[in-house]
Amino acid sequence: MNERQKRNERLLAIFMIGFALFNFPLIAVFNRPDLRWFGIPALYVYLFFVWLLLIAGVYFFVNRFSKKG
Amino acid sequence: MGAGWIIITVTVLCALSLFAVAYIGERRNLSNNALVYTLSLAVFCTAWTFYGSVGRAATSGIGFLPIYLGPTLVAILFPLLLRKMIRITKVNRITSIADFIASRYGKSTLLAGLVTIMAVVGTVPYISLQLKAIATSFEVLWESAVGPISSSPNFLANTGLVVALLLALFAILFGTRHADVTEHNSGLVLAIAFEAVFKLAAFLAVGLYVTFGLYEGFGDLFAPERLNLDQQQLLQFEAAGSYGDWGWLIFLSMMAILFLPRQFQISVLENTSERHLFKAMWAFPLYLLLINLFVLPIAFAGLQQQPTADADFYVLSLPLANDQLGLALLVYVGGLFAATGMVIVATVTLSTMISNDLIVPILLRWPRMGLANRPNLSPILLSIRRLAILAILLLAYGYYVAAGRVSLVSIGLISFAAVAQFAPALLGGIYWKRGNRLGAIAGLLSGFLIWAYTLPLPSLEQLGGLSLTFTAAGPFGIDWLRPYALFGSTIENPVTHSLVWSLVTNTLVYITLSLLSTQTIREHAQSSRFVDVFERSEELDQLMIWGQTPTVGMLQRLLHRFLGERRAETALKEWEGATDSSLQAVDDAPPSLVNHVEKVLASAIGSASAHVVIASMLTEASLTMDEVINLLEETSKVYRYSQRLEQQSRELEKRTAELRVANERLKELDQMKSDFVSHVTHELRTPLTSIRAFSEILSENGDLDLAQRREFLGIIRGESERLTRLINNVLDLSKIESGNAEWLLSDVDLIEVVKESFALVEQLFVDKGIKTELLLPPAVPTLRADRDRLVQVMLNLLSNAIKFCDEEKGRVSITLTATINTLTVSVGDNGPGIDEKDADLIFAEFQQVRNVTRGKPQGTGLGLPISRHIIEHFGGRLWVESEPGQGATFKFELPVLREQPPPELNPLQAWSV
Repeated sequence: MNERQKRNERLLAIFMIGFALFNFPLIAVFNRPDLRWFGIPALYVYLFFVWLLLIAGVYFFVNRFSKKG
Repeated sequence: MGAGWIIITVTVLCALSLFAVAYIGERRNLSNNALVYTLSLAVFCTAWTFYGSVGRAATSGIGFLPIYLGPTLVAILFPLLLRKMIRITKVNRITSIADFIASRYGKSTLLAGLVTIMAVVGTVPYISLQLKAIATSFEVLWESAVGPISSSPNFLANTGLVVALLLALFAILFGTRHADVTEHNSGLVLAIAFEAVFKLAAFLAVGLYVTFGLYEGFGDLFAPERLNLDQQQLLQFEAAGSYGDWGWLIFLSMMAILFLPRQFQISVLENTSERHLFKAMWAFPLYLLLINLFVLPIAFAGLQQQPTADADFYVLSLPLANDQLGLALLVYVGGLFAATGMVIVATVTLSTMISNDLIVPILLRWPRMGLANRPNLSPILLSIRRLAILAILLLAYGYYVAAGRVSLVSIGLISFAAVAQFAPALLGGIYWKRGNRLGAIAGLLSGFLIWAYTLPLPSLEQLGGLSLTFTAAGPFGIDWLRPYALFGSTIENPVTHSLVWSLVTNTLVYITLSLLSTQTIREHAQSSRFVDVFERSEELDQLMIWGQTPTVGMLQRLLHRFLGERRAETALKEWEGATDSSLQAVDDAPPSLVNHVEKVLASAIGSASAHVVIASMLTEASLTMDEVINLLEETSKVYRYSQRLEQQSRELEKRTAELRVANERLKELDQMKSDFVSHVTHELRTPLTSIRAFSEILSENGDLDLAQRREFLGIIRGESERLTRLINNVLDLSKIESGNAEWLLSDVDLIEVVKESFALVEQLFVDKGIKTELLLPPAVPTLRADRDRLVQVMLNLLSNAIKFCDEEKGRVSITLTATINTLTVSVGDNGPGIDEKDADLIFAEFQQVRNVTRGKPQGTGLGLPISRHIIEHFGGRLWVESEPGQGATFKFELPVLREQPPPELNPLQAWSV
């Protein structure tokens, strides 16, 4: 029970970090059409990179948790 | 016609493969798998994703992405949100999202119907969007590969209708297999998962082809020298709208992934294990990422190569333009699957809702239908669902025909905004116990109406259903009612505008009304079942909300009728196993069995209907009012009990007050008694002292002359007489007061009494030189009284008159007057009189009016109290009339006609005292 609450709290934290990363003002920082990474507009790279990072984060979190539990 | 035949063959093969997969899934039960579950969630990605995303990206750049970021974020919270929803659904055997909300708020039929209507209104345009996508993709493919569609066989021109009918057939075959909706549609789920793989593969294929086939990778595609001014603009975030709109879109898609009826069906109802969520948490967002990865490249490629083509179908037109028919066919199939998956799940879901939450409750309440008495209802249930599927698809086709030429781009978002209205009631329902039925209904209704007014209504203008100034100037020119600028708000994006107004109103109404009104007992029980689903105790199952106990046989028959014999027996065995008891052993169904049966029924017809069925069965058996009365009685019992307590405490208070008064009176009497004793002893001591003093003088002074001795002896004798009198009086008084006095009754002539008394004291008047006046009538009626006592009263009054009348010119008048009913004797003197304030005092024991001029009081101070007691004993009264300086007149009055003389004492007994 306690373990589950701890897990839920951390998931909520990841959720909020994700929500912040996908929103203003952070995305405004990368709203620069002239800036390219690997030839791709920075905004696109940023969004897809954060997305991938979030998925990876959840993947590792879930696996670590399921080993624990 | 070769290419044409290929297209038709592929389409038919697709449909057949879908049927085959579904059939295998049904037989092998392959859907109990985390990967299948995750892939089936991708029913979220419809033709709107497959074709529409590129179209959206071509006009608003990055603006297509929030729709997929929201679900990504929600996936992180699956173990919190979805797990709870799944558990609640399993425990309560929920059959749809409408059932979920209705069940939470006391199994409200009204709420179930409302949610169903909202879901249908919100979903039908979305389904028509899929039909349009299928039809248009077919046309694009056909016209490019074969030629103009108008010159083709007739049935092809009506692709939309053909598709709609085919989809209806599939949905009916694989979505309505069991009456029990909670039994998983494993064939359907496997087919959806299969489609998900295919559409992702197709999209990735076309994406890779465009990026690396037509271009040399991303860098080449986005190279600044390739972009014209419009495309440069598209790179900016602002193409997608404001940052606020972006945030709201993320939020909106978060609601959609949770509350779209088809998502609810797949993620909650078709979930076979909560453990699958842990895979879906990361795998589903990964799927979304992959299917969106090439949206921007395809959009930019399309803009650069086919500036005039429909951006929605770049995925198809780009390979076609480059003679990649095979790839185009793959894309076409992917799009077909994306659309069909959504349509099939949505129609199956809606048909369940329409039958369980809308039609069956109505039919059950319509006695003429006789539905409640049919021996076997499951075929009827299935027919209703099948008809509903057909109706929904025809409705969607009708919408497609009517609105076909209108831009359908925003229909997806309009649909999302409709289901977002479920959020307050549903999320509030699983986390907030106070949330109640009234709040949920009012919140949903207000949100729904505002949504309808601000989003779908203005789009009717384009169809000619409304005046052309409606959106621009507001209805009847009322400025603040403009549907895109409610109350003059300046939110530019209509979706954000509608969402803000409807959802804020919805939430506020829900919370406010929930706080202001109370829950019924049933609602209260349901709110615990939902909110505390993980801490569920068995007590709730024991909770008997019905006022009446059905028999086991009744419940058995009920299950047979709705589920068929086999399923009914399984359900009953389930209960026997869970409670470790036997049905043979019990006659009256225990509460847990009734609840179990209700839940099993709910899995077939929804909780609201199941509730009505059980209620109607109990009604048939005997009384409906029983239930109500029992509940009422519980309440009134408590009420009565508290009322009784209150009454008792009031009585106690009254008693206490009475006791206090009595105690005061007792204390007073006690005080009076000690006063009396001290008076008596005081009065006794005075004569005793003088007797003792004079006898001492006599015994010590032997030389006293005779005259002096005589004088002293006279005093002694007088004082002892007074003493005797005093003692007699005290005894007399105490006898009278205690009621022990003896009364010798005889017929008394009051004239004689007065005369005799006067004669006894006449000498005293003469001695003191007091003039007397005796006024007596010749005759008066006789009285029944104690003659001697009356003489005693007269003597007392006369001696008082002698004592107090004027010393020089004393005058006393004695009068006897008679009226019809009374005889009055008055004795008047011309003494100093009595103050009014002393008039009552003189009748109290030992109270003598001290007269300064007279010095020492005379008499015992008991004469008047005794006299008053005597007169009152014979039913009369004794009083004094006086003015100071004018003398005093004592009067007593006795009634003549005594109906009943006072009870006579035995004369012998009287004498014996």
